[in-house]
Amino acid sequence: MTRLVMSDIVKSVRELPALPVIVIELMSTMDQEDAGGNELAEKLSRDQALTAKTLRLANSSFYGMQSKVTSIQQAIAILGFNGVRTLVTTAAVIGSFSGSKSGTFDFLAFWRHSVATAVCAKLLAKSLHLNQDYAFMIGLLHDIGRLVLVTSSPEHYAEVLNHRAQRDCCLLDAELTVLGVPHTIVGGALAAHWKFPLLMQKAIESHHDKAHGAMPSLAGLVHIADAIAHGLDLSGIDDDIVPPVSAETWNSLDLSQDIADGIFCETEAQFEEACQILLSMQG
Amino acid sequence: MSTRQLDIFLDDAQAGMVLASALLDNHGGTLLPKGAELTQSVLQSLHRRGVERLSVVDSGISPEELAEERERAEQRLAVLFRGAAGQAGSESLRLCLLHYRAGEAS
Repeated sequence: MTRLVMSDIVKSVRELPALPVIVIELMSTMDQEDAGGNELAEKLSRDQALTAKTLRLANSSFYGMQSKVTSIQQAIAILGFNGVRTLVTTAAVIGSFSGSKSGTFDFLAFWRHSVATAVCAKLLAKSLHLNQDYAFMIGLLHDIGRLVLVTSSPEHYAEVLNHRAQRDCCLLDAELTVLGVPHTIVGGALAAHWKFPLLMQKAIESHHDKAHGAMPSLAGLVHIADAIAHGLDLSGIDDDIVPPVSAETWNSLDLSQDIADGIFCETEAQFEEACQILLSMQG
Repeated sequence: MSTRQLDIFLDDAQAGMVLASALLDNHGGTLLPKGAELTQSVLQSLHRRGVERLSVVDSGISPEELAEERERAEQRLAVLFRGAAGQAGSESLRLCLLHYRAGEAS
């Protein structure tokens, strides 16, 4: 077995492609409600590729805008500062891993599952009156630690995948057995390196925990959205497996069958289009 | 998707159809509850609200087809949930998904 240690992980996180400075700035002000919209718009306008991707995302029917958005200023006026922040960060993060390759790891299935979780987390947040922008981002990035592991130690991760296939266990258990470091911890470290809000770091780090508190929380919500995305079979993998669901966390969301049906149905309805748009952000 | 419900565009909806799941607005509020019957005035109001899709009960299915569908859904969910079979939280979600996939015939 090939055990990784935390210092290896920190090193590989540091070697990852950096996010554009503007995105780091945006994320570090995520807790401030209206941190200088004009300044943001001006800075962002200097990164033409990112601006173009952000506007393309804003204008997709998945985002449900009534009229066409042609400038960042206009997007802020309509979607709010938080909404635009999510768009920019989503476009930048998906782009930052676009060149990743591995013989054994299925990147498409990875992103399809991430998008399904993001869509479902946003819908859950809507019905529970939690922050939808945060929920979407955390859902999209909950497994990002896996990409760090695959891109930084492809041979080691091939062993993980092999172990999972042989034992037919959860990928998380295979990571713990083979590497000794789960993707949750690595994802939390990357989120910290990228200066994401503490709330998001914690949620990414704890999304496989056995408990997330008795009240609905973003961490608990993503734990459930992750399981629902697997349960709805949206990754498109024959031998997919739903990770264990915490009873306490499931109960804390207090979903009636009617509400759950609505969320399942809406997740399926939005999924393909969200995939198409978000995955076109790569490259 | 369960064969007991059909996911359709609002333009294809007709008066007399019955909602298979609650219709929610952008804020998570219920526009129409599950089981509501669509009438001409309801359809017009949904058009005004910009609703594009909805799922309605599909009544043209035989009990045998329904049983087969439920069987298929149950088998697939058993495979997907094999890692945590019988654990309380996983079991709650599995049953919730089964209900969604195969309707209420439990």
